[in-house]
Amino acid sequence: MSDVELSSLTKRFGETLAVDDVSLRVEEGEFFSLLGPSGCGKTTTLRMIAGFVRPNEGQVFIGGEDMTLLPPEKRGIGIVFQNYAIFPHMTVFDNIAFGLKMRKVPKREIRGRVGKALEQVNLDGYERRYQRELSGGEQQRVALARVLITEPKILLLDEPLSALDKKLREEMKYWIKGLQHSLRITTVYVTHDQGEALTMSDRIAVMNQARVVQIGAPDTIYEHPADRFVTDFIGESNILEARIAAVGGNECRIAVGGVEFAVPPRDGIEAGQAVGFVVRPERVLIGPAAQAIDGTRLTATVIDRSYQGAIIRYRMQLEGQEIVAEVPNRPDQPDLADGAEATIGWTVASGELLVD
Amino acid sequence: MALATAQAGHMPQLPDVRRILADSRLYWLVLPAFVFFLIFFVIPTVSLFLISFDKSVAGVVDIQWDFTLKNYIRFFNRSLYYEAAIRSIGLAAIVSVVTLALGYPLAYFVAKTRHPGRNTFYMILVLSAMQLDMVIRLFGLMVLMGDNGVINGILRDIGAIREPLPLMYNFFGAVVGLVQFTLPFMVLSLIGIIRSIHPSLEEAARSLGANRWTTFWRITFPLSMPGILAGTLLVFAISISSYVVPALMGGWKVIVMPLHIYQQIAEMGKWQFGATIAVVLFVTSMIAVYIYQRFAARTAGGRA
Repeated sequence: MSDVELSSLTKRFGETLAVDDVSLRVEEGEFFSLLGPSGCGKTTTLRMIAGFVRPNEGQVFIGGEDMTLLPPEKRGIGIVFQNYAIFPHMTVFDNIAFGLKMRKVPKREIRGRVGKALEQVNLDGYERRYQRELSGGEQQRVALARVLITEPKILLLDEPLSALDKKLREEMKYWIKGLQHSLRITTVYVTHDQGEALTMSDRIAVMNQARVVQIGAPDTIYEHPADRFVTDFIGESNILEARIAAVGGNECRIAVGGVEFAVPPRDGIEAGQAVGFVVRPERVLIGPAAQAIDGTRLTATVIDRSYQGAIIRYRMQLEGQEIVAEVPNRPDQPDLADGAEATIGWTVASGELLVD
Repeated sequence: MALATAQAGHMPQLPDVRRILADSRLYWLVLPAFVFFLIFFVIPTVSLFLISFDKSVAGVVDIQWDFTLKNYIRFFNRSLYYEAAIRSIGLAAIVSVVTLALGYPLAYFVAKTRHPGRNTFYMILVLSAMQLDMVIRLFGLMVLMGDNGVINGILRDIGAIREPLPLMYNFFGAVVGLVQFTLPFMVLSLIGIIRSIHPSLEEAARSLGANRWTTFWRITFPLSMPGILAGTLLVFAISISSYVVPALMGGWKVIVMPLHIYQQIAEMGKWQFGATIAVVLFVTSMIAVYIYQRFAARTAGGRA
């Protein structure tokens, strides 16, 4: 097991810049996600770690060793692909044994280890099946067993859940995380699904347009997004156009339309500056809940109400801008009709400033 | 509600009739090809088969209904003929192997070219090899490979040889001619299959510790087995039945079965014995194909 370090990694495909000056460090035993929309360069970054793509500039270190020019088979990595890439002309046994055969492990030892690997992924008895006889979830577990049996220094996962249906995806999310946790294997996980990244990762690197925009723990990324892109991409967010009303010491007040309220201060802002104000829909409280907290309290009008089962979502008008509130579907919450006026509010710490 | 049940009770009969109509409508699509095939292939082949059992009379083409095994006994008692059968199979087998060896790398290269424009260009290049008539291309080969041809001329000029190398009017010449003719068929059979092998399979093998060479032999090659099978069978069938190439490039020294058939029918007027050789050729090549397919299917892990 090892750490991974990327230093100023850059890859161009013809004229297009696929990965632009990416530097990051994945700690030993960490579950690290590369998260971003399609075409952001996350898969190319993973493929450079694996050795399938050679960078134009920069270096890849695995366990402190410069791997930039080594072919994939000499890097000690294991990779699970989006389509699982189970060899269709081999049985499950031969698929899983492949890595050991390449390492010239004696036949008797292979038999025992393959059996154990199949047990580990709950597929005992599947030795003689072929890829076409496996469901998507089973194929994925075979792919994982095939990789883990070689005891790779790092595990690379390229959108391994995206081909599964929703229910199985949820299940596999926790299963993979649990497996990774018990093996303590350094893992780089590529996904465009923020939910997966938030649930599974120790840390996340959000990528956009070939660059890393923000690196941090899931709660940091979610609660203190670095810019408008991250705010928009991770979860749903309200971004209100605002202006700094007053800055001083540990206090900062902004004006949204005709109202003023306090926000957490941040560096590099001055009075009069145009900023974005972010508050997550689930942090916007309504009615008595808003009255009960110590923080910002404002009046908004319901544009429409949509019932979503566990939550009720209100689209509201606040000082000429739109704000969304999601409240739990509970008897202690008010039930508002379209056009109703209500008090909304949030704690000061729930807000975040965006400076462009 | 009542209306709905009434309709539902009615329904089962209607779709059945419609389905049968729709099915028979599909058969109409096959009919023209079927009629053509029946008239211009099945009938002549069956009559050829019938006259192969007929008493051999020079100049008679009609079926005389005077059946005997004499023609077959003659075929298998004369080394001249059964050796030609063995030679035919040998020639076709060698051509298949050589064409595969030359064609696979070429097909692999074209299949792995992802750039769409370049890919089309390579495909046109492969297809352009098939645009000229075979006889014309063979004359081109003669200019190159004859005793006074380009190759021997150059070798003589640089003093490498004194006597011309026997490049054609022999077995080697026939092989070269057939390989040249069948290579595009092989390449086209292979390109589609190789392209359909998902790159992640090869990458998975690499990540599991296999180098390029091992990855090719363990993954790419076995997965291209259906294409290899189709290509070699096509090339084998073309080669074993080829008349023009062995005639021109072999200079009537490589006597394969089609040459005997031509000789019996066109020169001696012995349609019955010509037909016998044709039937033996057909059966031999079917048996060879069957054995080969069984063998190849096993190496492909039951996938081909």
